[in-house]
Amino acid sequence: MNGLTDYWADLRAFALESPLNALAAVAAAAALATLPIAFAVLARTPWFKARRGRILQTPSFAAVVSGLLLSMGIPAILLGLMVKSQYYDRNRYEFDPNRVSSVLDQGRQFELRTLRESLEKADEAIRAEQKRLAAERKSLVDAVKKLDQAMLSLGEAALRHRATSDALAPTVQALGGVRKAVGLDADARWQELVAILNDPQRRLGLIEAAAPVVAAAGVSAQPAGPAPLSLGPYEAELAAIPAAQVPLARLLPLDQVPAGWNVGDLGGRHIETFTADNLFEKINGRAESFLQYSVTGMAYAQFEPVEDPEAGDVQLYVYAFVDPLRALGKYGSERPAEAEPLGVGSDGYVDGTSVAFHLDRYFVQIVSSSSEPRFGEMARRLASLVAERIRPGAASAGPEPSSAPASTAAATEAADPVALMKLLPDGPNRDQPQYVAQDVFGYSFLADVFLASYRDDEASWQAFLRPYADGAAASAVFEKYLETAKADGATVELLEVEDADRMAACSNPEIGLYDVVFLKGNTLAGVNGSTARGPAEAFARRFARALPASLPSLPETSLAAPLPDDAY
Amino acid sequence: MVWIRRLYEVLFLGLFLFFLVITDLRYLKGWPVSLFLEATPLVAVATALSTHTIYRNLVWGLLILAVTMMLGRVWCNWMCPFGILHHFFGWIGNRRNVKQAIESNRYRKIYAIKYYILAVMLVLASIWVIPTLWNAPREIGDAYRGTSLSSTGLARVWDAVGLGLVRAAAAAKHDNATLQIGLLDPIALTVRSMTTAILPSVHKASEQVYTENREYMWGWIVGVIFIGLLVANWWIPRFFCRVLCPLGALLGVFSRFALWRIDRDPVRCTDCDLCLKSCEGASDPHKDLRKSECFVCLNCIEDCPHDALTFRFLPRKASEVTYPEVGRRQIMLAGLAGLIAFPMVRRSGLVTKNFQRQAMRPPGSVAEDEFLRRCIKCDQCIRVCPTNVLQPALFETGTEGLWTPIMISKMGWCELNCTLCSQVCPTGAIREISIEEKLGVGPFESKGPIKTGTAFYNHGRCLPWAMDTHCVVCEEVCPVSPKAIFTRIHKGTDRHGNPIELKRPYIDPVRCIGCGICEHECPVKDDPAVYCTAIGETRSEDRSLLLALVNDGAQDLVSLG
Amino acid sequence: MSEKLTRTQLKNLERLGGVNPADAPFSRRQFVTQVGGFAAAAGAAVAGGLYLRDRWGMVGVEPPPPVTLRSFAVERDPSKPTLAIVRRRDPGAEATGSAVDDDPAFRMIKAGIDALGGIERFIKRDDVVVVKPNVAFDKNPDLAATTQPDAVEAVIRLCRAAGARRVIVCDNPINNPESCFFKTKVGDAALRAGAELMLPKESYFEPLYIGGETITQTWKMFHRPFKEATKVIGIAPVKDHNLCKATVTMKNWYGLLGNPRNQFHQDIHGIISDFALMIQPTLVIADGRKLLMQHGPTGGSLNDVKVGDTVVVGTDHVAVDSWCVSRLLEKPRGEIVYLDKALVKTAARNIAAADWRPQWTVEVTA
Repeated sequence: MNGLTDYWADLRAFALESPLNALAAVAAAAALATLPIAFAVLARTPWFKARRGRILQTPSFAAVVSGLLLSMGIPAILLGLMVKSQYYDRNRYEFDPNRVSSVLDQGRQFELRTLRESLEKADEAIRAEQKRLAAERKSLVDAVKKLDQAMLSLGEAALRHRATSDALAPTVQALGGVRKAVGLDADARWQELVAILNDPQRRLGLIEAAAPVVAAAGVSAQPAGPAPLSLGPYEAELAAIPAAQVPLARLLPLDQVPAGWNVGDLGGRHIETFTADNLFEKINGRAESFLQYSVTGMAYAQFEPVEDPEAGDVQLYVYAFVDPLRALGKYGSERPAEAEPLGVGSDGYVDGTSVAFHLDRYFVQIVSSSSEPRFGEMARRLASLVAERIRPGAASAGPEPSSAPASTAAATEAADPVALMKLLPDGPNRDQPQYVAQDVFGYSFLADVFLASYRDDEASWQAFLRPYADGAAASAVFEKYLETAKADGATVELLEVEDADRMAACSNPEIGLYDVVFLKGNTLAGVNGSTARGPAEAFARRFARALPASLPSLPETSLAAPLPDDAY
Repeated sequence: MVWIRRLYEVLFLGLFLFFLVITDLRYLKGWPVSLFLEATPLVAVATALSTHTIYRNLVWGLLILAVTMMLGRVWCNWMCPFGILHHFFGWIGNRRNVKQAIESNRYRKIYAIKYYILAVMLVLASIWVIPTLWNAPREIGDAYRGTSLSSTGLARVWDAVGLGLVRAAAAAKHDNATLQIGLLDPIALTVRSMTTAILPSVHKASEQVYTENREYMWGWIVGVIFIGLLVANWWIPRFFCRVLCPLGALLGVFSRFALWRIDRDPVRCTDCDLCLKSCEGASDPHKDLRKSECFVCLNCIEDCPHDALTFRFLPRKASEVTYPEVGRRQIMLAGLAGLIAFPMVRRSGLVTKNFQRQAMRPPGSVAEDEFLRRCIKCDQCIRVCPTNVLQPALFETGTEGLWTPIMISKMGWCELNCTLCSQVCPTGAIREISIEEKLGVGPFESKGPIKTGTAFYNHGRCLPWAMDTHCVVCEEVCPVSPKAIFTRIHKGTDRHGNPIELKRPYIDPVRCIGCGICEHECPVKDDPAVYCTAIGETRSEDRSLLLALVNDGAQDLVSLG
Repeated sequence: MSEKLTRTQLKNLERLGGVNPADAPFSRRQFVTQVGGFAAAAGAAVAGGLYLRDRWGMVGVEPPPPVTLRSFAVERDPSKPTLAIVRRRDPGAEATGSAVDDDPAFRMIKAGIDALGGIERFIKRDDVVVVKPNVAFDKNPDLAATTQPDAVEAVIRLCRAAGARRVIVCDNPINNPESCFFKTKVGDAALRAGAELMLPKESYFEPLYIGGETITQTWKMFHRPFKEATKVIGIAPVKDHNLCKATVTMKNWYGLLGNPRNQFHQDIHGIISDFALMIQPTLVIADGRKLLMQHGPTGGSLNDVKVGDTVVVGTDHVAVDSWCVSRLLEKPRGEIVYLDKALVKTAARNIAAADWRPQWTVEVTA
C-alpha cells in the first residue's frame, strides 16, 4: 500500500513538474487503450471495407490485426520514450564537488550481473586504491626524512650567525609540525639544536665563538712566499688573468724557454688559465676526472720549434689541486701500468715523448704532438724547469728529499702521501704503489687508500693501508669491512695477533678470494683479494709488524664528494 | 495501410527532428537522442567489422536487421528520416503525369551503384582480414602447442583454430581498418547536415535554436550536398535511396530472407503498369518483384485497380528476384578499390607520423586509429557541444578524418564540467566518460585528468611577454585547480625608463588539460598568443609529451575487469 | 475465386493453364527452408551481434595482453668466475700496425668466455641466440660509438660453433636502421658469420610488461626476436653519455624500446635500471678495446676515442657496467645512479644481480 502511494506521489510530482509531458503521456495512454475499440467498431462498418468505392476483397483478419498493432505502435513508442527520458544521471550535468565518490563506485560502474562479481570488482578497486595511497605515503615520508637531514646541517650552520639563528626558530618549529604529521622522530642532533636555540646563553656563545673564525679565514688566504717568479716577456699578460690564478700562471717557465723553441701563440695570448668551473673549455670531458680530485686551477702554455713551427708542439699543463694528496691521486690514475720513470718531482714517468709528474699540490703534464726525439727532450727539459719553479731543488732529485721512512715523529705533522706510500712493504713482484680515491675494491665506504699489488708463485694479492683521524674512526671502517664481507658471502674469523690491535681473515673459498685486514692504532690496513689464504696471512702479519703504531691522518674531507642521493 | 505508413513516417521524422532539437544541454535529460544513429544496422555491421565489437546501444541495429530479414526493407520507407525526407521532397516536387511517373519508377542499371559503394566501405572496414588469415596458421600452431588450452585430441585442434583466429584477428586489428560508411550513411549524413548547415541557418533566421550563433567551418559544403541530394528527387525519384544509400544496399542484401513480400497475382494482373505510378523503390512490382529494391511502401497495392498485388506470407519463389542485380566483376573491382584505397589514404601520413597540431579530439576520444575505426562522422557531438568548440574537420586529421570532430579553440573551448559529447556518441569513438573521470577525481585520482592537448605560448604576440602590457586573461580563465597557467613577476623598465612590473604567464604541462579556453579568451584574437595543440593528449602513448604522465599512476582502474 | 473475372484476366488464366499459381498455398518444403533459413540467419546475426556487444564501451581502451621476457640466464656454476677481464697481450698494437694476428676480437672474447667456463656452458645445441649489438648510429666503427663488427662476428662464430640453430642480430637504432647496420659494418659482419639480421618493423613491436619505476606497466618493445630465443647475448661498446654519464651493456637494452622513447630522457636512470627487471641476459660483453671517452654517446671524432684494449665478459650486466665505468671510463662509480637503482630493484624482485666487487673476477691476457 505504501509503495502504491509513493508511486502516486512520484506521478504527481512528474505531472506538476512538466505538465506538457504529462499531458502527452496521458494522451498516448488513452490512444493505446481506445484503439482496439475503434478498430473493433470500424471493422464492422462497410466504410472500412470500402476502398475508393470498390468492393473487391475484404481485408483479411490478419491484415486488420496487424493494422491495429501497427497503429497502437505509435502511441506505445511515444510513451516508451517518454518514460525512458525520465531516467538519467543528473550528476552528468551538474558535478557536485561535495559528493564523496568512493572506490566502491568504481566497482558499481560495471553493474555486473551477479552480486559476487561486482563485490570482487569493488574489492579489487579498494585494494588498488590502498596500494596507491601506501605508495604516496611512503614517498611523502621519505621526502620529509630527506628534508629533515638537509635542514639539520643548514640549521647548525645558521646557529653561527645572529640574524640567521633568529630566523631559525620558526623554521624549526614548522619542521617539528611536519615531523609530527608524518610520524617521524627528531634525531639527537635536532634535539641538541633546539636546546641551543632555546638557551640564550649558549646561542650567544656560539655566535661569538664563530665570529673570529670567519674573520681569520678571510685574512689567512695565502701565506707570504718568496719573491714572485718572473714570466719574462709575458709578464704583461698576467694583467688579463684573474688574481687567484696568477701564482699558478707564474709556474710556467716562459722566461726560461730553451734555445730553439718559441712560446706558441694561443690566439693573441700565450698563457691560458682555467678554474675548476671552466676547465672543461680546455680539456672537455676529461675535466670531470680532474674535478673528482678537487682541481683548483690549470695553467697552460705551448712551445713550438723555432725553425719549424708546423712540425708539432709541446703542450704544458700545470694542474693545481687543493692538496698534495689529490695531486698524487690524479697522478696515480693517469700513470700507465708500465712506464719509464722520470727523475723529476715526487714521482714522474715518461710515456713516449710525453712526460708527467707530481710535486706538492701540482700535477704537471707535458704532451708532445710529435714523436720526434727532440720533442721528448724538450718535454723533459720543461718538466725540470717547472719542478724547479714549484720547489727549488726538486728538479733533479728524483725521489724527493722528504721521503725518509716515516717515523712516529711524523705523526704530528700533516700526512705526506709519498711517505705513506712507502709504508707498503716490499714484497714479491711488487708493482708501483697506487693511491685510489674512492670505491676501493668496489667498497663505497673505503676511500683515499694506498695500495700495491703483489704476486708470487702461489698467489696474487693487494696490500693496502689507510690512516684515519683516530682509532675509533678506523675501527668503525674495520667493522664495516667485515660486515660487508660477510654480506658478500665470506666467512670472517678473528685472528690472534701481537703487532696489531685486531686482525681478521675473510675467506670466500667459493669464489677463491681471501682478505686479511687489521687495525693498528688509527690505521686500517691489510691484504685484499688474495687467491690463497696462507701467503695472505703471512704477509699481513709481516705488514702489521712493520707499520708504526700511529700514522699521520689524511685530510678529513673525503674525496668522495657527497653524491646526489635521489636513487631511493 | 498506406495511411498507417504515412502516420509512421510522420512519427519517425517528427521524432528525429525532436531528438535533433533537444540535443542540447537544456533539454537533453534522459532522451535517447542518438537512437536513430544507433538503429542503423549499417553502423552496427561496419563497426563490428572494424572494431570487432558492437558498442552498447548499437544493438538496436540488430533489431532492425532482424525485422528486415522478416519483412523486407520497411526501414527505408517507414522509419528512415532521410528516406522520409526524400519521399516528401519527391512528393512536393512531383509534376509528372501518370505516364511519366510510371516511366520514372522503372528499375535502371545505375541503381546497383549503391552495392558497389557498400562493398568499398565494408572492405575499408575489414582490411584486417588479410593479415589475420596470413598470421592465422602461426597463431593456431602456437595455440595448439601452448599451455592455454586444456583440451586434447581433436577438440584441441578445434579450440586451437578458434583461439588462433581470435588472437590473429586481435593482433591485426590495429591500423588495418577505417570506417567511412558515415560519409553516406543516411542518418549520419542527415544529422551532420542538420548540425553543421541547416540548424545554424535556421537559428540565424529565427534565433530559436541556440543561445548564440553557431559557426561551423566549411559547413556550406555539407549543406550543399544535403540540399543537392534532396533536390535530386525532382529528376530521379528517391535518387539517394535508389542509387547511393549503402544502408539500403545492406538491407537489400539481407531482405533476401524476407518471409513477407509484395506478390503479383498473374491472373488478376492486366499489365496496366499502374503499380509503378508511385513505386518508391523501383522494385518492378509489375513483373517478378526485385525483393532487394522494394521499400515496402505498399503504394502499389493501393494503386492496383484489380487488387492483383498483395503483401503476403511466403509467396512463390519463382516470382521474385531474390538477389540484387550486381555484376560479379564490378563487385570484385569495388572490393579491390577499397583494398587499394586504404593503404594509400592511411599511408599519406596525417593519421600517423605527420599528425597535425589541430588534430585535437574531444575528451574521452579513443586513440586515433581506434577513433577512425569508430567515428561515423554523424557530428552528433558537434550538435550537443555547448561551446561551438567542436568542428567538422576537413583534412586536418587526414582524408579519412573528413567531417570527424576536432576542437578549434578559437571557436570555443572544452567546458570543464561537461561530458555531453561522450554521452551522445553512438559508436564509442568518444567513450562515455563521467565528469569524475574527465577531471581525474575520486576513483580516477591515480589516472589523472583526461587531457586533450597542451597549451603553448607564442611570446612574440603575448602582451606581457612582448609588449609591456598587463594581461594574463589566460591565467584568469584557466579552469583547473591548481591552475595550469601560472605567472612570474617580471621587473624591468619601460621604454621611457619608468620601472614596470609585469606578470608573465607560463604553462605547467602536467596540469594543462588542453581545454583551449586560454586560447579562446586570448585578446590577440586572430592568432592567439596562447594556443592549444594536440601533443600531450592522454588517449594514446604515441602522442604523449611527459613521461611522468604516460606511466605515472598508469594503473588503469577502469579496465581492471 | 469468388468475384467475377474480366476478359483479360480470363485470358491470363487460360494462358497459365487454368490454374492460378498465386492461389497455391506454399509447400511444406518452402515453409521449412524459408522460415528455417530466416530463423537461422536472423538468429545467427542477432546472437553474433549480442556476443560482440561491448556493453560498457570499454573495449576500445583495453590494452592488449602484455607479455614478459623469461630469464635467459644460465644456471650459476659456483666453480666458475662470473666476470672476466681480458687484456690484450699486445696492447696498442693496432695503432702501430704491429698486430700479432688479425683477429684480436675473436681471441679476446673467446679467452673471456673460456675463463667463465667456455661457450658450451652458455650455448647448447639447437639454441636460438639473440645477439644485441649497439648500432644506434650510422657511424664508422672506428669512432667507437657502436659495437665493433669483429666482436659481433666473433660472438656469432662462437655460437655457431657451439651448435646454435639460429643467431639473430637485432637492434632498433636511433638513426635509420638499414644505414646503421650498413655503416657500422655490423650487418655485414653478422651475415658473414652466418647470423640473420632482424631490422625493426612495426609489427615486431609488442607491449612488454615491466612494472618497474619508470615503466610502471608496459611499453612497446622490439619483441619479435625474443619470441623464439633461448639465449640472449648483449655486446656493447663502452661509451661516455651526455645524460647518464656512461653507456655500456645495460643502456644497450634501450635499443629494444619502441617509440616515443625520446620521453625516457626525462628519467634516464629510472629507465636504464628498469632494464635489469626487464631482461636477464645469458652473457654480456663490454667491448672496451676502443673507448669513447667524451662527446658521447655519438662521438664523431677520433680525438674522442681512447684505446682501451680490454674486453669484459660477464653474466651480470650490472657488474660488467660497474667494472667498466670505474676502470675504463674513469668515472666515479657513485655517479652512475642507474647502477645503484638497478641493485635495489633487482634485490626487491629476487633477481640475481650484484656490483662487480662480490663477483668472482678473473683477469686474463690474450
